[in-house]
Amino acid sequence: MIFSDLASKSIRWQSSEPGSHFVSTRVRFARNLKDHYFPNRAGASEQLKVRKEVFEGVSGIPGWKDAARLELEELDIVDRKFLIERHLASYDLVFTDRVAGLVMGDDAAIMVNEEDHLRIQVLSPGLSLEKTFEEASAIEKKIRAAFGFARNDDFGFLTACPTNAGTGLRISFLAHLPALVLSGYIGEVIDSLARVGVASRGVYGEATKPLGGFFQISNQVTLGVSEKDIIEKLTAISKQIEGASDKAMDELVSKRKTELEDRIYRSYGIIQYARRISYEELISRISDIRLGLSMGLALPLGGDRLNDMLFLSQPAHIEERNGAPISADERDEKRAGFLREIMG
Amino acid sequence: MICDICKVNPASVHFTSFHGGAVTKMHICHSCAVNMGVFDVNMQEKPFDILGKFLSALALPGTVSDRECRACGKTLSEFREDGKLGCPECWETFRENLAPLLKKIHGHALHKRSAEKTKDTRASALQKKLQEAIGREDYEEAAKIRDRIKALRCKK
Ligand SMILES: [Zn+2]
Ligand SMILES: [Zn+2]
Repeated sequence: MIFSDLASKSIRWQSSEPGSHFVSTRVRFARNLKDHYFPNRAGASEQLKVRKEVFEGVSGIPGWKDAARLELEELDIVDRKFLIERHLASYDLVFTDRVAGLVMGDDAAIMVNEEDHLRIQVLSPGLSLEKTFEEASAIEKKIRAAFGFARNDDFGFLTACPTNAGTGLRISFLAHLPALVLSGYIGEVIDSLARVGVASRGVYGEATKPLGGFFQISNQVTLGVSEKDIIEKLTAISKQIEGASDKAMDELVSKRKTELEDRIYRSYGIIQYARRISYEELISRISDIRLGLSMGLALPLGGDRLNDMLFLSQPAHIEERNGAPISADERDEKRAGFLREIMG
Repeated sequence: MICDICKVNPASVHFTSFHGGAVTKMHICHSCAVNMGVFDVNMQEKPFDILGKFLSALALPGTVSDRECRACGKTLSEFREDGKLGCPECWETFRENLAPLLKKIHGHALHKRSAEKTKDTRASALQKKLQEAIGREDYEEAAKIRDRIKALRCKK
């Protein structure tokens, strides 16, 4: 466990506006080096060579000289889970038998030998599609100048999987939509997004049973469209989602106000007084409190503290801070203690 | 492949670790992975993978005669299995097979070159013409080309 310091650091790329629909934005480019097999086809020695090339090349790029460079095989299981919790790495990067690496900036990261040689990603708070794209694009251009990427006129950037071809660009935003979930409209919204090539999925919980109303929404189409097309489409979608959510909220407040308030204040009480709480339960409680704040209820909790509760009390975060493995019960106990600490 | 930990179940989770000065591959089964807490985290980006795999099987009928990438040796039937290309050259090798698949995923089979890029290409083509005109001392033509480059830049 090597992340005990980072595990107590707040996440900067989360909106601290407590009742907002949009929590964060992520831009990710899939890129491959010209003269190597893609990671799935490359042997271990070639994977190692690619990682070395990238690590060395990146250190020459302004702004990335001091970025941490991690070799995944050096990390234990808790560290790997921690990177996923932190949104710095994907499951496929940390649990793979490929020789993988991670270059870690503050709000940006470069995954090496994930499905593609490079996955360059930038995160920022709230809904900020264009700005985040510009930021990520600037980084991508510097890296492109240093390495040269595999691309051609017909297919754009050549990726290992045809789902990422063309722009190799995946933009997503994390939305909190509890009103759509409670009113039952969420299924309809997800279906209609799918019809226009926009993917959405629950961030927490099982695929079939998302928890807390947190959804990640992203473009599915990367080929045959420009970067600008992708940004415009997601901008339009975000407005529609916001409208649908506001409408659902008005309906809920006018028909089920007491029920909602009861639920929200109960959740507040649990956060304040629980002596043991699972992460699954915490997600739902935080979701309720966020809902309460967006309804204008007077809850003495700001967005920053809510974000810390949600992020810094994830299982691997708690274990990293603890410095040694603990049982699930102990973890739940420590989580409850941590919440009370934040509540002051 | 059998699980490295319990030596009983088939392995489904893979990772690398550093042992005795070398990178070692670990393969463990689902239940050992659960015990190690591998699945405590939220899965990210999985849907696209599954979609790609599913569609590649769908769009590439099994009757197509097999072919192999000259650069990396990946075969079409392997691609149908895992939905992943092996190298940049595969995109040429399997071009015809990819077209219907790309169409299904993206609604397009070809890349849209960004407006900016085409403009840049046009500007650099004009630059070349300009140099040529200057080279043969055709200053009237050179002035015209210069105006066109200027006009292109303004449109940005
Ligand atoms: Zn096992
Ligand atoms: Zn190939």
